[in-house]
Amino acid sequence: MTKTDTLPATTTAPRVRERASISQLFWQGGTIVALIVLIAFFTAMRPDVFLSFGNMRNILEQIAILTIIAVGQTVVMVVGDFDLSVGTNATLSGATAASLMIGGTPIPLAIVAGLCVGLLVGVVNGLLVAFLQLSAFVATLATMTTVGGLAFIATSGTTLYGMPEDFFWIGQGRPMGIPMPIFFAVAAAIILWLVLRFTTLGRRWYAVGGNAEVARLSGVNVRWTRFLAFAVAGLASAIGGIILVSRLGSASSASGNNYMMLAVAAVFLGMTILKSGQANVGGTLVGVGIIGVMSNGLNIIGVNTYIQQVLTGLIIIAAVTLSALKARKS
Amino acid sequence: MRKRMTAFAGLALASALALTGCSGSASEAGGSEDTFKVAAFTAGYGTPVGKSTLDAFVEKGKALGWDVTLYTSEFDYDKINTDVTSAITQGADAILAGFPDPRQVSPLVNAAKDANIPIFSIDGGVEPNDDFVVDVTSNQQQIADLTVGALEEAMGGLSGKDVMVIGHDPHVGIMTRSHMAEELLKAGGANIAGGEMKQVLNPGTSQEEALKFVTDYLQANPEGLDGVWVGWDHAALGATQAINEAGRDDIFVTGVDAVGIALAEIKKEGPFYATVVQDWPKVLDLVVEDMTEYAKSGTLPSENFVETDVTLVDRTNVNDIQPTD
Repeated sequence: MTKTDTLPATTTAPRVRERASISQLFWQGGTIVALIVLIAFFTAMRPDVFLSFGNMRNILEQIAILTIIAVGQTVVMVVGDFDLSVGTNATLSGATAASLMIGGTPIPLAIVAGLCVGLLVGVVNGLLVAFLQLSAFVATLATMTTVGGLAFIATSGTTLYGMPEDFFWIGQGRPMGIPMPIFFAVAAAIILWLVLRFTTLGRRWYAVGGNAEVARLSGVNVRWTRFLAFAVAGLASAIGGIILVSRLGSASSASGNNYMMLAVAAVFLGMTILKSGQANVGGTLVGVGIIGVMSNGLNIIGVNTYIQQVLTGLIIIAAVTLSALKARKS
Repeated sequence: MRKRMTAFAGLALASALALTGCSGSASEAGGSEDTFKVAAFTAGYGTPVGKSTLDAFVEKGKALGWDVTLYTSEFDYDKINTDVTSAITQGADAILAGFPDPRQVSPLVNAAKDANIPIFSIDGGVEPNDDFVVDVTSNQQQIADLTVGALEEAMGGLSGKDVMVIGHDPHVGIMTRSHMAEELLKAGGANIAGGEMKQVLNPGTSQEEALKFVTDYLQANPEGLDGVWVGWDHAALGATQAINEAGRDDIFVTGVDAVGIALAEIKKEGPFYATVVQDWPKVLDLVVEDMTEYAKSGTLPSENFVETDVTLVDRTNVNDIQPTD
């Protein structure tokens, strides 16, 4: 009896470790598994359509602008905050550029002006949160409202159209058959990934997000670090907003507003991938992928948009729950 | 500490300036005891037609010597109900409801009834409603008839054709005409693409939503679409863009509203085949006429529901039509 008691004791250790590693893989890889399951499901439902080159390109084009805004949001969430104004900021920046172009301003100058508007909104957010120590929720909620109002003023509540044809290349051009927004999205993701992964600034962002007090004691200028994160999110929103205006050929008073919720959702989904539960560009891309695949796949199989919204919400709840459970386990 | 004090002083100064500005504009807007006070509201100020119509109402009201206060929101009826109820308690003589959703204005309707204040409405539904002393609107059945007729003409008939219908049920007018159009299409023998009407979630982002609907549908059913009926122009523009990007010239789109960008698209003689212009200036004139009579003599309109005719805009007359935004 003693023998049988002791034998399993020696063999259970690896099994426990094995179970632990499988469980750990599940917790960490759950979001990626979800993406793979979704792709497999939609492929099974429409094998002739879903994985075709045309549809993959279609999905990538549909998520390109969200990717740009979401990677900007990732930086803010790395420092432990979030920015609720990214959607209205995208709308205002795009509308500013459109309005200037319609008024005769050269395209490059109008784009720079739009980018400056987005950056300025990010700077204001940064000042409010990092220097005036306001809660990110309250500060960016306030700027979201203000910037949303400014977007109505910039567009006069109507739809702006009639921008120069050359401007549409940014959102509608297809070099080598690949839509331009995809190139911009890839560039934005790579740049921010490199910054977060390999630069001192990126390390500081993670340090502040991990423990601001420890970071401060280690010599990191916490205020400037947080400030810069909001500025980057503002600039990314502006890039997304300007590409959106070019893509649609028009600017309205709310065209980019939906991107805020989707960007936050994508970053939350991505946070489940790292053991630490921190925001990261790779994870955000998986999150954006899930949102894009869900939307496209459900459209292709003809699911009602109301149900689509419910399902998207449920997936986010599942991912965040997964993340919370993982945090509790660790 | 000193920096914090400076920040507080700055905020206090900014607040004081803002309040000074507010009080200045309020006193300018206010009139004497005899001035006819109107509380106008719309939750659709973010839509081109909602904004232009309500702005025109404020202009007309001021020209008539009325004290008009406009309350707006972005489909936030809680805010509208609160604002207008406050205006009623502050002594409004009449209310102008701009494009209201009758299902969401009960609190202000009850407050107006209690205070015995009439509500005049623009496009407040599709049937007579006792909440309003008058509701002047467009003839939704005519909109559906004309646009489905245009689509039929473009597609060379309805029978056996696959038509996507894009609507937005939370908006009463769009919901009504979308379901009317769906019935007409079915009655004509057309198939509703995807089996049911597509619902846009947010009118503010409808162009992009419709772009995705049609792009995804064409990806899955390249030969399964002959036309797209859309309840308003912005979403119709998204559908048109998807068809253009798919390189198709055999799928046609109709919209409603005749906004400038839609008229420009019809002029290109591409997929965007037709839209409808609703005569909002006429609707506004009728409502202002009724309010003027009430302001003068206290007489209420004799009928509480008036439908006005609409005009189809297609390639033949697009150059003669003024955009509604």
